[in-house]
Amino acid sequence: MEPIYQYAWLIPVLPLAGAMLVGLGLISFNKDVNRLRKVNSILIVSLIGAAMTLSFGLLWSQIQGHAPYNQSFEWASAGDFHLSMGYVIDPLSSLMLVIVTTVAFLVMVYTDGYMAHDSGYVRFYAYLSLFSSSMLGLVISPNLVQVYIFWELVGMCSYLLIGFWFYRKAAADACQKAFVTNRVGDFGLLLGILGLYWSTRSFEFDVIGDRLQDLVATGSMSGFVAGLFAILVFLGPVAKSAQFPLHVWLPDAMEGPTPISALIHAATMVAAGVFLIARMFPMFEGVPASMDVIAWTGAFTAFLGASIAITQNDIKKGLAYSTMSQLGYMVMAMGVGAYSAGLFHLMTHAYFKAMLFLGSGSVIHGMEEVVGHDPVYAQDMRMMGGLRKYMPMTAITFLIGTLAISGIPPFAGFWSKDEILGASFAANPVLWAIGYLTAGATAFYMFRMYFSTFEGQFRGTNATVKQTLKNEQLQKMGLAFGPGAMNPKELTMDTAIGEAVDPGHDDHGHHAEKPHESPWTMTLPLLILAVPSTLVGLVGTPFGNYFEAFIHAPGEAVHLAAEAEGLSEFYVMAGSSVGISLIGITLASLMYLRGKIDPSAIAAKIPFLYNLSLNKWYFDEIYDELFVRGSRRLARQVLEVDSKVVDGVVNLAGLATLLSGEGLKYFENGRAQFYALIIFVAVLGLVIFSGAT
Amino acid sequence: MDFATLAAQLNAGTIVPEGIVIVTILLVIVGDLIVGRSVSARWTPYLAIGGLLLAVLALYQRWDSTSPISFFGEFNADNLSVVFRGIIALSAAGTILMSIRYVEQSGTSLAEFLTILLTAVLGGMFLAGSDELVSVYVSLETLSISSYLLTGYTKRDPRSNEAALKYLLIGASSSAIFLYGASLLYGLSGGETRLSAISAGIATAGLDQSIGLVIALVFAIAGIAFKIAAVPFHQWTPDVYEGSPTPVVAFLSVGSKAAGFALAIRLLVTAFPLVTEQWQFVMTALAILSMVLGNVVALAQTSMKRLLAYSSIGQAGFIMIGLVIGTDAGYASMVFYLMIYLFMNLGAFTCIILFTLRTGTDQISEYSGLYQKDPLLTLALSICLLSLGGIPPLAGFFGKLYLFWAGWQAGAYPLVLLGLVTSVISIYYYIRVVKMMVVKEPQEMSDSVKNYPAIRWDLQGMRPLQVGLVMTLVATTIAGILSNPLFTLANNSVTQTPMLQAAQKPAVQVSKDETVRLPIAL
Amino acid sequence: MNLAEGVQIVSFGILAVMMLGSAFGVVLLGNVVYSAFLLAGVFISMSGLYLLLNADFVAAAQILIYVGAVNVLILFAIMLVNKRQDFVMVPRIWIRQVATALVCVGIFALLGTMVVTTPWAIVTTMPVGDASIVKIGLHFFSDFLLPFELASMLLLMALIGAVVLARREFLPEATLEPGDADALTLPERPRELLTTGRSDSTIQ
Repeated sequence: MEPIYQYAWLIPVLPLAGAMLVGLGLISFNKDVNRLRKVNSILIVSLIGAAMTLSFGLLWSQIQGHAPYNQSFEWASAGDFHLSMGYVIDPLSSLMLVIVTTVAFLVMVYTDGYMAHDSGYVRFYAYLSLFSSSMLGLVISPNLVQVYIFWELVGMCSYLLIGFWFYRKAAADACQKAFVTNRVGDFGLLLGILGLYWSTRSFEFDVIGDRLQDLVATGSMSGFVAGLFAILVFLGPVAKSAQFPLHVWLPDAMEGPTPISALIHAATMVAAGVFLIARMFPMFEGVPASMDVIAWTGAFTAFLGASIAITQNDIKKGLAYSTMSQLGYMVMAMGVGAYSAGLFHLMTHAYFKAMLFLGSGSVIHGMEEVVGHDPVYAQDMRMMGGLRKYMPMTAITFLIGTLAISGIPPFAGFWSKDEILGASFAANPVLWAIGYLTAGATAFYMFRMYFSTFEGQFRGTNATVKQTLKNEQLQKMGLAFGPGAMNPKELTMDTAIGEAVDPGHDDHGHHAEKPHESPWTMTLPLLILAVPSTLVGLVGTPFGNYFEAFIHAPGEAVHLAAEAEGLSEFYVMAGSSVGISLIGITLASLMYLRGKIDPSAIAAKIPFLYNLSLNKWYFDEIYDELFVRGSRRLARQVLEVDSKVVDGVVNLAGLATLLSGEGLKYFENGRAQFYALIIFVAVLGLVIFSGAT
Repeated sequence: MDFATLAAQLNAGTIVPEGIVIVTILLVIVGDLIVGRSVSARWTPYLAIGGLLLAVLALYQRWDSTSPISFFGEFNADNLSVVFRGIIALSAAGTILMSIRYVEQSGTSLAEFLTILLTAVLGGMFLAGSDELVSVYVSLETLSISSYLLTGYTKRDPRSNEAALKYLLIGASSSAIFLYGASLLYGLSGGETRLSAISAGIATAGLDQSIGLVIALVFAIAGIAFKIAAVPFHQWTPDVYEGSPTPVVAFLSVGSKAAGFALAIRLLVTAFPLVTEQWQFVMTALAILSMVLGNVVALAQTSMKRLLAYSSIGQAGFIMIGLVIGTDAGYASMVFYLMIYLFMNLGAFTCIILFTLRTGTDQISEYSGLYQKDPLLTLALSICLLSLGGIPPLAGFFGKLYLFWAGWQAGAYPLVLLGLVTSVISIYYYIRVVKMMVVKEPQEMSDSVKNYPAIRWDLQGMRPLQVGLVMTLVATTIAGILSNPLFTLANNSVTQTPMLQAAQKPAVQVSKDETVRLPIAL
Repeated sequence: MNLAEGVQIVSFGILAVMMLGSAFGVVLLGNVVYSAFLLAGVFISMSGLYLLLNADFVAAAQILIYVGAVNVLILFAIMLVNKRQDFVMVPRIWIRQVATALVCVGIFALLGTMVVTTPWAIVTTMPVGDASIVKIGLHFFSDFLLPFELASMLLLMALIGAVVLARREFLPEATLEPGDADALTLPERPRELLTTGRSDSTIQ
């Protein structure tokens, strides 16, 4: 199996080549390339397909017990400073390769249907391919520098794709927000990497971990500094995996096209944070304080996400908060030391969440037929209902995803979530309690979403609902600008954009009465994804945890056969978590399916909690006040400095211009003589000065 | 001495690359004479490029030659000279790619342009290897006089005339000063003209601390500084850059400058080891002045050619850092930076030529909104400018990193800090242009961009321009990331050059053993 | 050529006075034609100095090249232009003159000090005299072969360059559009014309 390892570098290079080819084509022959839509998409999809095949080969070989393969070459060296580049294929990276390539492949197939009428179809494929390439490069990186490079690349692709419909103001804003938030985290990561290099003189994951522990053990570095570096590195995953307090960008990122939400903001890129923690596990493990920070951040984020998701009406926003919450689970698992449980959940989540997002995309696609291309209407669950009749494929796959995420056996999510809960119970019952409550909330909001989307009556043509939404949106805009910051021009611009002036999606002037099922290119990926969402959990059951045997923390021994004692514990844990899930589901069905309980009545009873959740714990407002306004104030002051200091400097530049002979044009006589004179003066001066030294 | 022994002693194989260039010159002239101007314009440029590439190939074969000294010590084809000659030849090849259409459009004849340009290359290549005062001076003059002629090539444009005249006058003054310095050296050393013999001669005459030697040093530096356009010998640069045909400017700023640096290293290291402190002091002063003045004055420029003129003064200041510290790493970083500078500066000039050809202007304000009309040009120009500014991960960043790192290691902290500050200033004016092109809304487009002609690559002479654009763009983008071959080349050219190894002081060796630390700028 | 010491000193004095006098005349006289002729005087006295140094080949070359070619060229240029232009008084010209004088005095003082203080290694061998031409020829074809041959390329290029600059261009009128006088100029518009857009009235 050696050749397959030697050519493993092809996996990221193939999609990169596709992106380059199409990108160059777009730059040089824009019109022609845009016309050849199918050719481009088939090229890119087949390239990622090839990468997928290769990845499966690698995974198979790794499962067979092939030793990890490491290939590197020297990239730059100066003195004793060496920087190598290369790739490493071990169980973790081969698993990640398979996850990324399969999801990317299916999302690309799906995109063909979803973006069929968009004028940016080819550009979108190029971006997708570029993203896949960077993500694949990230997972096979053998050292921190390479990780950082690809980390920035996937970030860049993510901004490009969030802002894909840059003419929508919301999308442009969201893209900026993602950019700024991620900068904070990346800056921390960079500082952490540099700090680690400074102390351990290495960029290799395991070397860093070993040397750091040595340093702390011998006392040549204080535990505090080690913890600081670990936390700085952890800031990177915090931003990328949307953990509290840098989670605010992820829900807004849903302004991007839905395939992006599925691929980048649910399955792959946001999981990169968890992946990085896993890669850096030897280091984090050596610094217990950082493990606690990680665990509590994860737990809090999990709860935060779930509590906000309960009240969201936008189907994609709801899923985004759910993603955030699930990522919180994974981070918590990492924090309590449950390495393989966290990665197991990463895998199952990648499949079922990608499916859920693609399903929501299919729903939105269907809704747009009825309500037009306005995200305010097409994505709001209050406009949906009863869609199961019109889109049976989407409904059934969405239901499978909902069951999986709610933790109902035997679907995938059950096994992984249960493993995390078990591990956190062993570590700290408080963490377990948070996770447990969150599991119940998850089941509740997911079924709320399912019921109000697919069951009941279709409300898409209901004018009153539409009016409410319209009012709400206007109100929200007024609120967002706030008193004093209101800019009348911006407001009119916004409403204009609210009307969805969308050059790619021409409204054809008439809307259908009923939504319809999406084309097969969209439903087929859903059906395919349903398979792993249902079954993939079975590789990691407590009865025979093949997953853990395959992927486990470096230096950790694993027993394949579960002990009887562990099993009985498992039954208790599993029983209780299934129980709370069922309670959540029952509540949801009572409220949104049967209508026995009126949700608005409950909301009216606890207005504080309801508003807290609906307004996302007011994080946006707090950040707005703290950072945005604060930095605006700072910017205003800087501007004053700018007008005084920088203008002064520019004037000084004018002076220098004058001195340098530029100003002679105002005298305009005998310049050449003057220049010659300066040369002689300079010669004289230099002789005198250098003779004096 | 009969002919056979003479031929054997000459060791003429070392100048085969120059021989190839001479043959190319003759072929171009004679070919043009035979087939006529309009026909010859179709093939002479490619012949010239072919000749230059062949010369580079011949240089490659002469890498690590066992007997580099030839012509009775007139010419030293050591590895350092090979690298510099390669840079000069490549810069001329790039210049030809961009000049075909430009010369065509300005209505002048191409074959003579190529002849003069190739002669300038010849002068530069000989200059890079000359090891004796007379050859140094003759090759310097060959390079200079060709440059004057090229500057005035668009002879019906008063700006071009003015530029040529100014260049000639100031060039002649500085050349005279250089000659005076050379004659002083001849006198002080007791009648020696070979660079290596000069310092020995001066030492035996006991004149190693005389004022005459310092004067000779400053006079020689004046001649060199004129070629590399270091402040205060830079006065000609803006006028000449603005008035000359743009491809000529490209050559002057890369090829001619590289030749100047080659001369600087060889002359200062071999002929002036007795006054090392003084020449390092003088070059430091020039470096500081160049970095500050070049980068500050560039802020106030409105014309793209003038902007690049001042920026090239600043860049020369950065390169001089490598020269003054006098360590292996310093020289290697100079060579490395020049190699990268070759690509990025030629790329930038190719872009502004393309813009000029399409719009007829080079005002910076006219570039606004170019992104909407010509993304490829915008991309290429942005990459080249950002690379000149030293933005990672482009090639220029690695070049600057190496220069500053070498300087830091050698303990030239103030110089490196000043370099960092001024390179931040330089980023400001480079980014200003990029912002102008990329950020502006469609309604803010300049008139020139509004009337931008349809992009056509099939006109005569446009294809080579495109090739040059893409090649420099690719090189600028990846030369940083895949810098190791260039890096090794630069290092080997220094460590395998006997002249530089002999000049290493013991004090320098000590600092080399220190732990190597890159400045935290990765 | 061996002259008595007294004769040498006297000749040197005469030549030096001649040279300095004509050099000052070149710089200070207002009429450019006088300056040009006085320049010839400088060159001739300089060749006299070479003769005193027994460098007869250099002296002959000096007269042939500088007087016979360079100076005649200068005179031709002056006569062909034949444009009497009054010297425009520049405001505050005295500042420049003072500055220039200072610099000149400074450089003179510097070089003077250097010449006086340096213990020159005086060559004691007899000058070769008439055999110098042979000796120069030998040097040209042995250890100075490279610059000698390179000079041929320099001259060839100078020839071509001179032709390029001097020849009358036959512009292919038919292919040019009417009013297109841009040939042989830079494609960039001069700055002052930019505001008016692409101007057809040019530069000539």
